[in-house]
Amino acid sequence: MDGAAVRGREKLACDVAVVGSGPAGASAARVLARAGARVIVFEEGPFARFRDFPSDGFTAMAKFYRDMGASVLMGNAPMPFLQGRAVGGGSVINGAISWRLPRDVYDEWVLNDPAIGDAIPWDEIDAATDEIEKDLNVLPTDDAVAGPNNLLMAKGAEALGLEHRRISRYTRGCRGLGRCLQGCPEGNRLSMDLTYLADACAHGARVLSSVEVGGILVRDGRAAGIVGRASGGGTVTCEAGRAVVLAASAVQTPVLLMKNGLRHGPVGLGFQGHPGTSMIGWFGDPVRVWTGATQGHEVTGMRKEGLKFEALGYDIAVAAARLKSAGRAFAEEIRALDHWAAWGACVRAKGRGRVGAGFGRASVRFSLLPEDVFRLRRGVRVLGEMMLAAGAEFVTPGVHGWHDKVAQRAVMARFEEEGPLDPRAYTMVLTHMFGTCRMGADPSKGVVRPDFRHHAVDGLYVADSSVFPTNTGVNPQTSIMALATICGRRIAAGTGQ
Amino acid sequence: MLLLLSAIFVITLVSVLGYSMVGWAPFEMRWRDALLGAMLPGDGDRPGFDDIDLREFWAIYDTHAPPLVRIGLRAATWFLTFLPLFVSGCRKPFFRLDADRRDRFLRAASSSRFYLVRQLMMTVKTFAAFGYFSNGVVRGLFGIPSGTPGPTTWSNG
Repeated sequence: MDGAAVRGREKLACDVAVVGSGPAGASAARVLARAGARVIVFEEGPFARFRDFPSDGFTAMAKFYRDMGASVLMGNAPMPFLQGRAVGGGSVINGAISWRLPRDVYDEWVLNDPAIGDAIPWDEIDAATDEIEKDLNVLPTDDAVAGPNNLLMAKGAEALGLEHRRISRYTRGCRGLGRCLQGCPEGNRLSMDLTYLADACAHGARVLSSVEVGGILVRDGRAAGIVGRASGGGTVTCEAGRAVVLAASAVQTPVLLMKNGLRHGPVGLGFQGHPGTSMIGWFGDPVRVWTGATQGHEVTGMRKEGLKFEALGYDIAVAAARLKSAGRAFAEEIRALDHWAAWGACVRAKGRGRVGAGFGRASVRFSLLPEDVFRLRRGVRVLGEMMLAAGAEFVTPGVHGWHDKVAQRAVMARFEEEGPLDPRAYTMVLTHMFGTCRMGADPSKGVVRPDFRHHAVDGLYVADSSVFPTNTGVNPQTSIMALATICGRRIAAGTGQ
Repeated sequence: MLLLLSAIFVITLVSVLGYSMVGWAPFEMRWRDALLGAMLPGDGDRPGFDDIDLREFWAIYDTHAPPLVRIGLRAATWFLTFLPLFVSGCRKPFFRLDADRRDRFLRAASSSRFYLVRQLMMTVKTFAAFGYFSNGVVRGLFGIPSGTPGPTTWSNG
């Protein structure tokens, strides 16, 4: 059902209303639908047929990214954060990267709150992840479709003696078109719209696209439904007899709670993410970062130091915008754009921020701590050294106040000491957001209980990465899906109701 | 200098917020296109930003750009148009500068010590790149098949 066609007042009824159709919402909805519940999933964005995905980045960002990819968080280094806005959420426009929740991250959570270990045993997460990997055909990127940008990273990591591997992805029949971030035009990325949502619908669930949920109906201390505004101009009211599940992301979920006066606990606080920066390098042979698997190789050897490196393929326009020059020099560099490789460093930042709901919109404040900037400097150094070791003639760190071009590893190695400590000198993007409705047994420290139930409102659950007590240091989609699956099981089993 | 920058910023902000409620005025479009064209000039061999048909690009912008993006591009346009008035060797609004001075100004601004200037330059550069590569003919020059409902014509092609 498309909200664009809703012009009047639409009244619906179901057992469980799920807000958000990304990996969290889709996973919870699937489990509930399979358990026999009448489920309706609400998605603010449109339904996108994979054959309609545009080849250029601008059109894709305009249509399928929140705020055209220009949502910006404020703090000591303002930076954009990217969120999908389509049926399937971020899974429609991400690199399809799959990582199991690291055991050490889970152990940190349990150490801080043993109730999490009781409510969500590791074995259950592990088993749910196994199922997800099987369902979504998670396999390492095939070298045949990797393309030079990924293969060069393997060479650089090998030269530096860093642990590395092919990225495991949710794909089937990937041909390395390099269009993951615009939406796969062949439907070879197994995003939620093609998999878990389709399965949920096969078991009776309904998906309502282009409806922005703004209201949570609460009666006698219990969540009773939602109210949304359809893009067609109408309103949608849905009575939910059993539960309301919020799965709208770590930014939108706390805003929805706050807008409805549900300010219990540290809602909106504790925001964490993975700030990332990129390194580009010029190679004698063509690399063409816009071809091959978008993100097919990663360096995992420094994960426990809070750093992970990934090859970054993207649309040619984004590749061009990353160049350091302007004017005629920019046009000249673009002529040889196919010779640039691009890799990124993802930082497990310790800094915590907050999400607010000013003027009905999300506003995010987040600042890097000094230790995060030290980690970032180390990441830039390693990226540059690795790229030079892979054969780059020179690299461009893109850090204001330091060399524009570096051709020697010894110079790049000095970056860890010499690199600026002002985070605004770096060009960063924040991906993967967590912690704004975190789970915890203590109502003063958690917005939801360790079994995903809201502390103050019965029948209200949060299933997305806002419940994660911390960031994970790795791509979270699989972890989100595993936890949301468990959330769905708890609701289906009637836990706490 | 900081004071002058602040003054331009305040004037820009007021103007931008006012104008962001409506579409681009013709004079604003000239200012904007002067910046975008100088950011990515053609060289006779390859088309530049000014040489390509961008009607569909701007149509998509008009349909989909959220307020934050509109304000950002507007702010960059106003601010960078008048910043050269305070730069030695320029002393004119950007659209009145000759091609060489435009190029020198853009190069200097992109590595400005002022964070705001660098960010506004990044905004202009990003739009120049997105606009340029939204064109199917330009993408074709880089061996990228179009396969898109987006722009596919180059006015000079």
